[in-house]
Amino acid sequence: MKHSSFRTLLRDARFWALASLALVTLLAVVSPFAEGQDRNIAGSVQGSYMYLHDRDGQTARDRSLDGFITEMSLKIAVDFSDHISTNVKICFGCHGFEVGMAYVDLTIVDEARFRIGRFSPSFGDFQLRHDPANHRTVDKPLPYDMGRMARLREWNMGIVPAPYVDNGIEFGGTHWFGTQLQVDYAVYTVGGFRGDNDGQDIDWIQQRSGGAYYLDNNSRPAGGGRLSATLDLADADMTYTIGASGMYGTYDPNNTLSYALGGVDVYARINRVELRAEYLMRRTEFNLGDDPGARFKYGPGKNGKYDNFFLKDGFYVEAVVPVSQRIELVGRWDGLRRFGNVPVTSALRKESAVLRYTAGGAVSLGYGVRIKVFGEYYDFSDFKDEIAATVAVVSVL
Amino acid sequence: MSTELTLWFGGIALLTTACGGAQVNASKVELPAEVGELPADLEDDYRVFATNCSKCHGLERPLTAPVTDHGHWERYVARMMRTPGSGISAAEAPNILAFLFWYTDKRAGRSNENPEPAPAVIEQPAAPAPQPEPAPAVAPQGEGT
Repeated sequence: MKHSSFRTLLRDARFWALASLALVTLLAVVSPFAEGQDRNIAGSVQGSYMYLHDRDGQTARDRSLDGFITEMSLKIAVDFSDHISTNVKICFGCHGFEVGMAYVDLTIVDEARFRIGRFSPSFGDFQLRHDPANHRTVDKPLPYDMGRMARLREWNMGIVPAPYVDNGIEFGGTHWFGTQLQVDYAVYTVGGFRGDNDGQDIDWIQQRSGGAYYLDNNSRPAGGGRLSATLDLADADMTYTIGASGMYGTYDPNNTLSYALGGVDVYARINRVELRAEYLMRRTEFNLGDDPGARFKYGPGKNGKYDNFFLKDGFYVEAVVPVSQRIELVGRWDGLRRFGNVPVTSALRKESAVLRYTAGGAVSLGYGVRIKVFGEYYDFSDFKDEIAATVAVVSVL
Repeated sequence: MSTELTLWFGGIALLTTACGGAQVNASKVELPAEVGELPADLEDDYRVFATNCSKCHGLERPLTAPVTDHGHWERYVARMMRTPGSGISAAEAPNILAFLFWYTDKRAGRSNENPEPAPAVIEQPAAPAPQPEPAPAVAPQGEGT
């Protein structure tokens, strides 16, 4: 093989996906034989009602997915041995039934674990807590919003709606330095986001649609990774975690429109008070088409050319304060911004923003049942402000 | 954004933090009625359990999990130690297990007069020792459900 051909091969994401699977196969051959099966079941249910008032001749449904919503998940895990396990999880929400997990874990040692199948790639801190029984609020932070935010259609939801589930392979591990410092890492190659050839943003419906049979729409895997460090100061009753994540890929069938994501996150626990903060950013290319002037709301830049991308970033800061064994108070401040040209039909401007203020709490009824009550205030740059109130009952199975 | 709203939100945050900070240490441990009160010598173990396990999920996850044998808890906690960012060190795992052993035995109506001690050290590697009995079911937590 010529050097140039070999270099081309190394740049092809498909090569790395294939090489990873070959490596896993080799490791599986030399790993211990399966010793049996432990079948485990867990799940959660959250039923909620979100109130947003009708206004200006519009029903709230025109601006949000208000009203009753039930989210459910059910997971079956099978441990074949201490090194091999399989997980399958079914989720039900606004979008109907979806496969949230269907993967095999091969754990060689703590520092080397392979995950193959359909899973949530390691990106950000919130993905691990996306289940409504695990996070403390009634909805997700705006950067991870998957449809509960007001004006979700105009904003096309968050930066990476959680849970982001995809097909692929992930290598990761964890290592403790002494008893206080835990370092975690993961790299993965997955199918990646989806959209159209003339796309102007990611198409999140295509992303989760079973109608496409969860196939990669452009035969080019995306890639990413995460690195985090946790400092556990048990004597001082404090824990701190910092993390950074990144992802890159293309979303159109022609494999020409790229996206790149980056994020940083911080967690601090002091006694039982928890503070979390994350910042995420996505740069997304769009198709200018043959006549950008007819396609986009704003004209070219000073250089006479149209930009072929937009930036979307967002953040959240959250505090969870237990005031008794049964009651938790939660405060959250989150927001989104979008910079870049918009389609002529969009209600957004070249620079748009939304800030949201959330306050509420949860009361445990015991036996795994909690009631959550929250109020939210939206401050939009392009729309009238909104107030939403949500009551939810959540239970673990 | 109005300054008033920022002040309003900031005020609520400060108030809740103040209330929480003042009361958390004094909060009484409330466990299911059939378990009874937590023995004084397990209060530190419970605190380690509560602070570590609540990072990724509510405490109702482990407290309602249908785990009935100690071996299953050892595998369970070993798995949680491998969860990214869990912060559960080898030094803390015995505390968590001591509480879970007591809790499980009380729920099952088993005597706690001569409790089986939790392992002094939990090994970090991926492979806890195989268990002689098949364990009843509970899924690993911390990844959604």
